[in-house]
Amino acid sequence: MKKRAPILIASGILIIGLIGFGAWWQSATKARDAVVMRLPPVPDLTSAPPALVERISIADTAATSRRDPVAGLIELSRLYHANGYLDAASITYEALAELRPEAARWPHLHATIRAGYGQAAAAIALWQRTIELAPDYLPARLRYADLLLKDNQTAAAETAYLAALEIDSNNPYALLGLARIDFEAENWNDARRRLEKVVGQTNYTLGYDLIVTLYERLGLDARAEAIRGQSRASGAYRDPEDPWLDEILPDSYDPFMLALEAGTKARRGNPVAAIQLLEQAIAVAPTDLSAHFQLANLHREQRNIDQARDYYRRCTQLDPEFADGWAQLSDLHAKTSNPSAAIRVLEAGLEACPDSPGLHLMKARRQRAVGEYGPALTSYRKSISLRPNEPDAYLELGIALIDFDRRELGISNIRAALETDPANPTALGILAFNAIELGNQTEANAMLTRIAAQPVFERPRFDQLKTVYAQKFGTEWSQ
Amino acid sequence: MPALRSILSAVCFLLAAMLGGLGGCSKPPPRLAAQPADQSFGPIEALERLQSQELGTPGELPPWIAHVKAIDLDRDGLTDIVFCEAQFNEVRWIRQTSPGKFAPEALLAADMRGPVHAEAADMDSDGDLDLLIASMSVVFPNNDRVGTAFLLENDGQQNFTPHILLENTTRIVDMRPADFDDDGDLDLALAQFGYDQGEVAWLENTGQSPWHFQRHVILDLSGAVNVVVDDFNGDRHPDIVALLSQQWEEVFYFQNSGSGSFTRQRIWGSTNEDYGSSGISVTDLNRDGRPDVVYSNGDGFGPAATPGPRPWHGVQWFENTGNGGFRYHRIGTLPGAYSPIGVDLDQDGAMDVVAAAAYSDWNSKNRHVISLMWFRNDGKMNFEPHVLTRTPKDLITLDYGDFDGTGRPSLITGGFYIYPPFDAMGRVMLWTPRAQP
Repeated sequence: MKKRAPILIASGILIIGLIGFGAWWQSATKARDAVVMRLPPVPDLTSAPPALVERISIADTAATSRRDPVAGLIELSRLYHANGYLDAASITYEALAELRPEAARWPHLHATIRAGYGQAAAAIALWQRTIELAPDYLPARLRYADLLLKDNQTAAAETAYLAALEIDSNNPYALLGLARIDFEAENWNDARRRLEKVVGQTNYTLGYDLIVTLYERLGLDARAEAIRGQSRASGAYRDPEDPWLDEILPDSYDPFMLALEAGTKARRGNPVAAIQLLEQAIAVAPTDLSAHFQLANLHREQRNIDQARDYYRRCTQLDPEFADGWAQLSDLHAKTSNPSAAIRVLEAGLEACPDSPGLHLMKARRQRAVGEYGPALTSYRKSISLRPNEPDAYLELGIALIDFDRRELGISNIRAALETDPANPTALGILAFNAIELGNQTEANAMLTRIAAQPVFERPRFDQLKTVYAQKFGTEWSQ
Repeated sequence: MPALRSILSAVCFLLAAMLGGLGGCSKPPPRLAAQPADQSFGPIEALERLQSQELGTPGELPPWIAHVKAIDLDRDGLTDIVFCEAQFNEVRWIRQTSPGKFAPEALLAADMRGPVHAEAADMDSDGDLDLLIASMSVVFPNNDRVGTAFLLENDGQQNFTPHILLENTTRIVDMRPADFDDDGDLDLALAQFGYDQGEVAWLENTGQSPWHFQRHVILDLSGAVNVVVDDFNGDRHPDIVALLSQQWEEVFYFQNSGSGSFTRQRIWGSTNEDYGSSGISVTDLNRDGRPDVVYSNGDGFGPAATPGPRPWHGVQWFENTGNGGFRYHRIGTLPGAYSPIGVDLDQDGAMDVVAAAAYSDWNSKNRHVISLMWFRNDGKMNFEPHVLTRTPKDLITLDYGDFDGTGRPSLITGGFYIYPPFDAMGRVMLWTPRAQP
């Protein structure tokens, strides 16, 4: 009996261990099968970077293994979504929603994809589920409300926006959505109350578009014109921040998508995040010219001069035919008191890009600045011949010619500038002043009428012109 | 020992039962299969289907062909091409003189202030086709009131006198004729993109004096890309469908009561402000007698330094379900999609969709991007993508017509080049079908 005891104990332990292992094995097999039967086919990765292919392969293997296949599935979902394989990402989110039904993240991320493709009904259902699971996650509430509005479910959209305001009582996106509902219903006073709050909070990056029209509708033309006059093209609107969506960005190997997100972050006033994303873009695509140029511009905006210079220089190395790289590098040298480097870079740029209108324009400016008037005129004309549909070279050539007492020729160039840009304030101002000075009241009237129609023309300058007009013609100008 | 044997037997049995008998060693179930419409594995190459021919007179600078229109301008029975060169402010004409033969390109009108869309209609009922030109003045982002609506009056000999119908207004990108107020003359629907502010409007032909029009705004939103006109609800009054881009990304239907009074209805919208709406056109895609709307999203301009593709770029259609109802259907993916049209390209009786593509791979040097895609309809509204060409790049405008006298549709495209490198360009191109084996 004594002899058998250890055998029996060992056997017991073995049996228990085997039962335990077997139970785990069964459960793991079940979990694996549950994942595998929901796994999307691996998309065509022919043009994907090797690092991404490898990560997808590892994640796919993990998702088909018995050791935490759901973690593999989650990894796959991030990789697919962050790298634009959205069909596959949708399937993984569907699977995760079934396997982890308590998590709000999956229906939310899935909804962003569905809504992104215009599949309103599916996205609405997914956001409803998200809100049930995570009632405080504001981006889901805002997107849900927006989509209801776009789906013509106005009353439901209003309720959804109001629910968002219960979480964040001054949320500008929710207020903007409500204002839009007011706007469509022509409830101008409610729309005004909300829009004024929105533009006040966001410094006109939100609501800029609607409030101008609203003021015009209310007969508040001066206010409308003043806002219009702030910018020749704002386009400042950006979608609300979405932290869950941002969390997948580190898994992106797509330099262009990273650059897009960086641009969005920069416009939202988050240059640090934008720089990080562009650095990530360059890390995954070290020869991506566009990302280098965007990063250089961003560093320049942030006054990181050394970094900006390095990235512009890298642009000229990556693609010597990319004229903007030379132009910006030269300009940066000039603005940082290094004129000899500026000239050297400009000449090198022109050698590499002899047909760049921008570089010829820069050369003209430099020549004019150092008194090389004849060559400057030649460079201006060269720039115009290469890009005849932009006003700057015409304008500067015209002004230079007027300075050299070749007024008639100068004015003809200013007129050419105005043809390419009919509301150009500089051209309008010069032509109006010229007409007044020459006593050409008909033309002066025409120019002042055009100026009056363009809110971007500075009002004090307009008043000065009207004063000169009155002095010249002995009568007040009126439309 | 028998006890030990029993124990060992039990262990073996347990092992066998757990690992084998209960399914633990079975193969995993199959994963999901690819969907038939899934384009993950790429479209079909059909590069030999059409042969291309450059028409007209190439210039020294990269072209800015904003719009091509297939139309028999001189009404001689042969389809011609009218197109807008936005860079030089010109509207030009390539006349088909005999099937497949073309006269040298002719200038129809200069000083057109950034023309981006041309339509033809006999606006003065004198039996010839006049031209309607929508002009932006400045093609790049600009919120100034610099738009102009031109009418080019035809003297019957294809000499055109320009008239300004509307100016000093938000930038106009599309203009379509129809009698909206049922008074017997042609009015105009306008897409005024503007930039931050813009409108959808119609110009009422007042008939009070030649070319006098009264503007009526029917939607105060920026970003109108196209307006298309048809009797969508079958009440014999022309209605309007407008596509709004910018941050809105919405499609609106304006149902006309017949007196120029419109009821507005949003038929679709995306919450993706980067959806990239780029064009709509009207065609009866499912051949049910009701006009449907084909829609592309491929505008890749955004907050990056250069434009580029998005995964959601592509083509879709709104099925007209009658009585002002529309149902959204995705057709397929096409990065940088522009200018979708309905055309039965393979003459099999089912209406296909063709779309151009532009600015979808600025950084790529291998030029593996798609410039022209044919979504072949199998007759059951399943669309199979076929690449018609990868070069030239950056085609933003597309139309079709009979350009070889066979009755088969040929395509015409226009290229618009604003970003270097300036290679693989095409100005006005004709794409005629090759004989199929």
